Amino acid sequence: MRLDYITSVIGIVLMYFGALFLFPIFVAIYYSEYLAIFPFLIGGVASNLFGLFLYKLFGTKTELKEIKKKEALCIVACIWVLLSLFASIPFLFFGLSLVDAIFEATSGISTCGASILSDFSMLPRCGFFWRSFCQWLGGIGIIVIFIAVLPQFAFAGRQFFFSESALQSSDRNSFRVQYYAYNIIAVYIILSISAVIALKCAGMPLFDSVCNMFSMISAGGLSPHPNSIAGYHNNAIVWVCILFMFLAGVNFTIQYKVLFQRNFKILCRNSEYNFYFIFFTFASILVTCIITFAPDSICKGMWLENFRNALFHTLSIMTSTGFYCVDHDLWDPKAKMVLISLIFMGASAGSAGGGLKIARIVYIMRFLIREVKLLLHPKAIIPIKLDQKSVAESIGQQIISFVFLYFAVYLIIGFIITMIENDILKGFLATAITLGNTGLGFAPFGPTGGFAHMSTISKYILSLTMIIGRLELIPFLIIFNRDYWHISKK
Amino acid sequence: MKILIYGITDISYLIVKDLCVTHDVTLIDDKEELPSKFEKLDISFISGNISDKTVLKNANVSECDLFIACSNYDESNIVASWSVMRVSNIETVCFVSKLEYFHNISNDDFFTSEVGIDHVMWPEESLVKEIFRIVSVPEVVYVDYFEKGKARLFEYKIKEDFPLLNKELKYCSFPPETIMVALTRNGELFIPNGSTKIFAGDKPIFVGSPKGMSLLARNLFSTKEERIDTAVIIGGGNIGFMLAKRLESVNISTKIIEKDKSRCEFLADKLSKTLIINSSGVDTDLFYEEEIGEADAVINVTSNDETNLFCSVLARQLGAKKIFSKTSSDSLVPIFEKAGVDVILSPGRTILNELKSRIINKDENILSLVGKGQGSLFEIDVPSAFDGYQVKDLHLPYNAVIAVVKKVRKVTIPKGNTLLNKNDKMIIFTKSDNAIGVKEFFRKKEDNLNET
Repeated sequence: MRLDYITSVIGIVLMYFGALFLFPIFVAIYYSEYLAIFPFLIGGVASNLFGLFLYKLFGTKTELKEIKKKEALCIVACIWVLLSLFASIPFLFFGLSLVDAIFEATSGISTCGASILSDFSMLPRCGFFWRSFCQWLGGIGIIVIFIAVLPQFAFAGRQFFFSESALQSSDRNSFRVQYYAYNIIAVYIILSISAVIALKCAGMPLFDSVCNMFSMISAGGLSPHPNSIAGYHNNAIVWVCILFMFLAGVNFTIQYKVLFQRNFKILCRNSEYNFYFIFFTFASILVTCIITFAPDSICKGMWLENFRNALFHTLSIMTSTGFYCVDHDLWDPKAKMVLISLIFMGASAGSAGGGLKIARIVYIMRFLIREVKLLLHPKAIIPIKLDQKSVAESIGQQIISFVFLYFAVYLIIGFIITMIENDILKGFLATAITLGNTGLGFAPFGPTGGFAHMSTISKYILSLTMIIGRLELIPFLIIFNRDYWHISKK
Repeated sequence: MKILIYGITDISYLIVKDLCVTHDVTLIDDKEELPSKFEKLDISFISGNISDKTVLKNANVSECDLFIACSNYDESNIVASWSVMRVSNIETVCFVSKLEYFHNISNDDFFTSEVGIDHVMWPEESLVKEIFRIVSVPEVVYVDYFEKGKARLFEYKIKEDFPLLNKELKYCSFPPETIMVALTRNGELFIPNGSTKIFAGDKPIFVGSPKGMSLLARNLFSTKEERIDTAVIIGGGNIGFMLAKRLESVNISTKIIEKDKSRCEFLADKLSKTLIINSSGVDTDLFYEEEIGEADAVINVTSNDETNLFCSVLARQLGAKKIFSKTSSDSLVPIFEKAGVDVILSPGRTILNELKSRIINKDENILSLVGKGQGSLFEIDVPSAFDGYQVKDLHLPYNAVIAVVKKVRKVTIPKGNTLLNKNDKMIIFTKSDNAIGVKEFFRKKEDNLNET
């Protein structure tokens, strides 16, 4: 590992990140919250100066061509952690303690959407804007933005790009990363603009529309309204959210191909999209049936409303958004169990959503089916196919080990949180919804609860868990390898 | 006919041997000496490179009628065809053995400039078509495809248990998009009418869309015992692969046994429903384990004749219903027959038949000859006099049936009320003797219109 490369790249990113603090400042000026300008100014300047410091620290490298895979992994991990820290600076000035500020900012950047905020009068409007804006940046993947925008990243883009999301598509060599980055950002921006227009038309105030859009398209879930979507009491808004949450959970590459190349066939051919649709439909129908027919259900017999709410909550959990339109804590435990299993499943790879990702689930499913078939035909050669193409055994192994790792990490962190909090349910539920980036679970983390009452250490651990979940483990697990720490001297 | 053939190979031997009796054949090859088995044949031989202009001059290319390139190398064949085309405009036939060449050269829409080779033939593909035909419709006597497979012609043989036996045709209902164009009884072909009855031993000829024809086969002609639902292919080469692909499309559950592991992986990647088993065909334990004897069809298409023979014997022993085998040499056919193989196929034999029927014995506009040449199927433009007519108002003079109407993009099997437009084309079935009369009828109509 060469420190000069690492510090240069992180320095550049932090410097540009400092400039992004201008957006909440504009919002503050627009709403005449002049006192709130100062915290953002501090945050921006701090980020900028620290960036400059790192940039100069070990000598500046402008040619990033020769970046190595492990350096890229290290840079990506550091960037996400540092950005979360700097994003938390403004919150410190609004009366949040250090740990709360960090938790809130990390929840934003990682698109988790878990919140410690119980008193919504604490933040000015620009504060809510900043929370949601961070999610919007995190949803697309911060590095992707830089690959598209900064020429220095063009060469090294490949390394960074695949460090940020571990699941590699089968056609990873068939496109230029920078071109690809432009395209998915284009899709992201189109989705965002149409979401704001749709929300505004459905009757949401403009400021709320923008903030909710940021959280919705990025599958984040931090809403400026204390009661999330439920607070607007508007069914049209719920339907709009259902549509855009669904889209946020679809692979952006597919959306690009449908939008710009008019390639509609890909929708039938893509296994992941099909299973996303099947799982989603199945789960929402199941939830509808459970809450409509369960003997002591509070919303018995209200078919249409239940169906709408089930759609909303299934998507909200599955895409790891974490919005709510009713208090699902009051639902039947059977329905809750369906939703909990969706926390682990997650949305499509290459989308804004978190979790294990459906492509991996489908692979594991087919892997198990193959094992049974091989018992009957021991000499048969049966490849596992995604999108009608065989998945190479090496990638298959990565997928399987990823799933095991995911659960191993889940158990270990769950164990630690349980020890600290002295509560099994709390420990494992908090871990599940932070590792899966959902941000919404069930009591005590349900619609009426929050993370405010957790102990300080748990909050730090869970903050880290969110970033681990967002970066899909690998950049962090590699820390435990001794070779990784070998720092080369010039 | 003067025929120029390039390449000394097994296939060219078969072709030359068959054609030299009635045609004037010249053989060209790089070899200096003609192999001894060719020497017995009455042909002329020129040694030299086909692209060399002196060789082409010696061969008198411009006076030949047909050029066939059938060396073992695809690239040589293509270059040879192109060089011959540059110096004269005779009809060219090019043999290829790779899928990519076959698709690229036989499809005009791929290259921007015209490829120009008249016929691209792929012996293995013809073999696959042949096997597939027998497997998918085992009762059929004769099959022909035209309009790129959008219209098909099947000849059946009526058995005692045919459901519509002794019934007048007007009371018979055949599936939609099919039409019975002719009937052969006691070797005599005639066009049936409503009062014709079908008897056992008759051979009716049907034309129809692929869908209609498969319904016909399923509803009227398939018997439970003969239907093939499961197939085992031994040998996963080009033939096995293409055959499996076709069998998948008609939902026959298929297994392929192939000994090369990387080839297995290729097959498993490209095929979706077929089960690929990695083992050599001569593994007897595997035959028991995979229940090869239960299969309706066992198809031996490895490149090795001995393996094919051994597997055929084994499959017969285990009780497989129908056994197919490929052989590369004609002399082995009797041995395969003795071993109890039901269908013996050789790529050379199939390609020779195709070559003869498609190119050498062809007639202008005639798409197909059936019933030993008694019936013929030809294409004709709809005369502008008939623009807007319905099929039933045509009043064709002779016994002729409009089998297919080709619209700009669509191929339809006409009914009485099908509308004809002047840009359409018709495919007409009639007795070969009447063909000229029918053409005359349409031409006169055209002339009448022009006069008035």
